[in-house]
Amino acid sequence: MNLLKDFKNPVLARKLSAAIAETVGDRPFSIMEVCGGQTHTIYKYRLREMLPPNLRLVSGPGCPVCVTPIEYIDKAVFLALEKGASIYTFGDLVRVPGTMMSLEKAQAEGADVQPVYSPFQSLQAAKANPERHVVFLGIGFETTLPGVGLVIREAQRSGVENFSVLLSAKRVPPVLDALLSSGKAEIDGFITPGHVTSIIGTKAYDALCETYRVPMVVGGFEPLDLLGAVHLLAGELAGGGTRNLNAYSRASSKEGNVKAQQVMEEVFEEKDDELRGLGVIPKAGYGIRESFAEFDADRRFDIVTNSREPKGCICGEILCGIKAPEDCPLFGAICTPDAPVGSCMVSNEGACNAAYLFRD
Amino acid sequence: MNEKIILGHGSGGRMTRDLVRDVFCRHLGDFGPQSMDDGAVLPCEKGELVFTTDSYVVSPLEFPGGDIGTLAVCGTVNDLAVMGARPLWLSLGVILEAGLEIDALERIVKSIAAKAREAGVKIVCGDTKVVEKGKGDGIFINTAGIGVLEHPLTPETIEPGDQIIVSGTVGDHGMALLTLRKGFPLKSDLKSDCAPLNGMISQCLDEAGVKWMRDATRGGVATILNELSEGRPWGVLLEENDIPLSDAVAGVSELLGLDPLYSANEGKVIFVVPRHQAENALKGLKKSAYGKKAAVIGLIVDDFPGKTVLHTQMGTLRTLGILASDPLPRIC
Repeated sequence: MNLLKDFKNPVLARKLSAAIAETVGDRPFSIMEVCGGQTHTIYKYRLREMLPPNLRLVSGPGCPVCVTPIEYIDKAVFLALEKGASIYTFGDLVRVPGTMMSLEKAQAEGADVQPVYSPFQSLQAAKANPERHVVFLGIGFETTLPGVGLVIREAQRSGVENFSVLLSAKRVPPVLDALLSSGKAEIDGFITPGHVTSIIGTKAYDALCETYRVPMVVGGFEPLDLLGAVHLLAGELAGGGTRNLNAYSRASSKEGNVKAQQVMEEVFEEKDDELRGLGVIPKAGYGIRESFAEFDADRRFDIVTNSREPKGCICGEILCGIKAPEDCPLFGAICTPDAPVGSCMVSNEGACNAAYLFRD
Repeated sequence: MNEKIILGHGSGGRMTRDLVRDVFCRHLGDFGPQSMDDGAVLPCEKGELVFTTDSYVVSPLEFPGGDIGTLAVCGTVNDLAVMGARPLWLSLGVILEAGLEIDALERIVKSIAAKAREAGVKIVCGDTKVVEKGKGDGIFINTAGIGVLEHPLTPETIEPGDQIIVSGTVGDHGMALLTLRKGFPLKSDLKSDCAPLNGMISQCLDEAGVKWMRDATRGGVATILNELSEGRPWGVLLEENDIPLSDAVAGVSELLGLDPLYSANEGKVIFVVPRHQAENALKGLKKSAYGKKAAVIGLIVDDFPGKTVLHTQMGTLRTLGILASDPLPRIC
């Protein structure tokens, strides 16, 4: 199988597209794709054009950079400029504007900011530069968290003292719970995030389907993965079903990645947490356990910030699926990837970024 | 221990003279400066000259498929060639960082000599400066180039129906360099496509009525075609399935969420030719080792004036815009 081509097969795509149209008929439905990676594929391949007009796709809150509170960026900038820490981060984060500046601008002010692909690179850097304090910016949903947990565990085992993690880790199920219980966004079914689910397992959504009587289908990130997920959801929606199904079985299972779950359990604990635009949600985040406290940058440093959200940005409503990027008065005028106001415009996975990048 | 560049090599005294003689002039030979004068005296030809300059900063300095010296010659040679000029002379300005190993510098100068010989250009003048350790990135190079205009381009004659040709696989240089960055967790057999293209281009010019051409360097094919289509009464329509792409580039791009159409090339040219001459152009390009995978990838259309649009392999249409800055690899 050619993984690069086969999941973009236009013949199969047209078949799925026809089957979806036939299944949903004339009734209007709204489906939320939870993950920003899925949003990106939907825009990139214009999948909306392959769906009937009465089937609406709504972008969800699963963009790690987008839901990270602005205060987090301010803390990272503070650590870099005021405490002289070396900041190691995934690339997406460097252009997100903070209250005063982004990490990219802090770099121009002399901060040491290094984009990395894996949290392990930051630990290696700490070992290689014992005179510097290295802070890894641990943001993301359940997908990225096991790697961060492993690095913290390894840092403790090898007795590294000049390393810590500034954590802002989120959990998908409680966020969906909050969205559903608020009733703000009228969503009939969810495409759940493939990579998150490969860690936590499809079982993590069972209770949500049951409580809110809503169908969910795990979706991957290739065009056919997503059309396949929409097709399964369409079947549920048309028949009034509320099952929790899997259209990404090549990576996700019912139980998920048990080893990864064990690492997360060992290093992190659930806590009520703030998501940008969504406010504080019960159990929606992770903190670092007391037994690893020395690697928690928040505990280790006295961090002072004075954070303010930018005016006029509606990232929050976009992340909840209440509004679309094009509904924002700043979109494309004041807020662009060159000069982003909100985080949804910066990240590759942000709905505003995808809508801008792939606009006509 | 290997000998290293020290500040004294930039003093202008004997150390500088020895470095220029033993490293630069020795390896450049017939293709290097023939005197230690302050400037080169060049013969004046009839017609028009094309003059260009480019500075080269790259990390790492040496990479599969080339090094900063290869880039410094090929980049400037290609800039002249895509203007329709025959490249003749280059200048070579180097800024060395104290601590650079002289062995590494020699390898880079040898690359410069090899590419100058291949391209048939002479390095007629040069300059060497040394900066303190920590104030440079090993070596920075500037090359300026002069060529004789032989085939003026005629972008004003471009019309719907004209064909768009790329001289080979896209995105190789940018993706290769990305995977070489410190700490990148993937091993790949990606290689820079860096090459002097004046030979290949002249063969294509002989065969086909090229109206416009550009080397698709920073920003890649999508950015170059946006610059072509911007403000025009016609648009560019690309066929995704026809764009030559190596499996390695396709794979790394997918993994990182990057688009190879925006990834840099150092050995690829985009041509616009009349429809009836496209076959000739391809034939001409394929005579060169650098044009074996040349392909027609799209055409000029009446639709989408001012825009570059991709007909995706899914069968949908997507506008290719201009990126604000370097694309960022995604988190997950």
